Amino acid sequence: MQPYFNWSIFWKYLPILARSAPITFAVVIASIFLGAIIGLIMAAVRLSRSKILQFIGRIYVEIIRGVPFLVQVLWLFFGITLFFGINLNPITAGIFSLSLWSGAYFTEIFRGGILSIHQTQSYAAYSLGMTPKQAFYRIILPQAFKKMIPPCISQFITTTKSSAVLSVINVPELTKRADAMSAALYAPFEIYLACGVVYFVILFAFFRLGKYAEKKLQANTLQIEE
Amino acid sequence: MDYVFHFDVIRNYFPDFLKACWLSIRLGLICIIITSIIGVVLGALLTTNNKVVRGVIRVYVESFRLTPFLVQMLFVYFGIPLFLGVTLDSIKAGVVTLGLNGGAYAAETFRAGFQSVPRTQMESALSIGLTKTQAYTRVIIPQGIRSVLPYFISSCTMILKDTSFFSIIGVMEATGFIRYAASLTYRNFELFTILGLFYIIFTLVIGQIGKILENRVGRHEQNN
Repeated sequence: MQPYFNWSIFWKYLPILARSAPITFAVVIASIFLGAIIGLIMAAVRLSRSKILQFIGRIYVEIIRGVPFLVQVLWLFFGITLFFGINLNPITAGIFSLSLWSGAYFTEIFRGGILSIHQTQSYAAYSLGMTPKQAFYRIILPQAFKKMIPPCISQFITTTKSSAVLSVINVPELTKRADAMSAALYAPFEIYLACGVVYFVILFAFFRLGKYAEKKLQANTLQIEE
Repeated sequence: MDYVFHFDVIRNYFPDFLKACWLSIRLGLICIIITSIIGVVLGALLTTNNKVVRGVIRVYVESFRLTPFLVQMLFVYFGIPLFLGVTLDSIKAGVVTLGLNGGAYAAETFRAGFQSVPRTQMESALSIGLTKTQAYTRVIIPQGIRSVLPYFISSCTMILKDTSFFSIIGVMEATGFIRYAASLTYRNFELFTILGLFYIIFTLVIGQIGKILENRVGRHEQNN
């Protein structure tokens, strides 16, 4: 075989691939939105006093984090549909599995954020005469919220990367388009390179944003501690 | 919901499934070894003062961390042979990609570990006459590795999970085998559930090892 590389294919199909990025992002944003809601509920479940609820929350998180996302997608799209005798279209199944998956990570981010606020903050709030509810909503949550921002941004990046897996069940997102194009043109090197570049450019922006947020918030907390 | 379970399917395929699981485990371990070598070497190089070296490693780390693993794997498996004019079988392509991918994450982990070693350690190593290389390999690296080892082992579960992607390029590891069995029997629900159980047990065991190590390292540091 002869080494082969054609820049013109790369430059020609880069913009065409970039045009299917909005589909990827529509799926990701819908999943992040639903996943954050699941995360809020499950974080509350995990932080509750009931041992049974705590256990349920833990099982959910351990299952989602212990099983590869690819297996979850296949299980949901091929297994559950057969089990219930329903027909899911790929996009619905994709959003559903991606939200369930990111929900477990959001659960841990929210829970970790709330637990990271020092107990003395609550005590100080109580001693000022606040009820536990007031202390939580006015003192703990605002501080925890700040700490959750950087991990939420990195979770967004991870979810976008995981959305590539949905190409396996034929969701017409970026990777699926790249698959189809590279097969049609027989130019996998150029097309997958272009595909990677599209992901990289977009995610790099979010990566920098995450770093920036981290730095800003760090400066903020240091001032409080002084 | 009138689904009838057919667990005999699982019984028929179980011996072959165990073999496929064993392949998954071996692939995972090979990738972990590659990952730790890349991670330690590049992590150490990231703490040096040479800006060019650091820049090159940064490009490698970020380009692997900010693109999906699936795209990287397809790129290596389908793209590289055509580009370089070589042949590459699917297991090699998968292992190389996963090793490089994991290495990019591990480099960051180990860098943090090496930077957490107090500066005085380096200074005292140099003052008793060690060369800079000796100071790194005998003083900084052993201490740095120990401080991040529990975290690194826990993050190895990610590598084990990512071996499931090998099924997409046709490797018959656990996921690949179950997909094949499912296509023959159409008992998707039973088969994929068993597959999920395998991965949960697998990752829980590794996670537990990480936790045990964490306790041991913690105890050791308390004794000091």
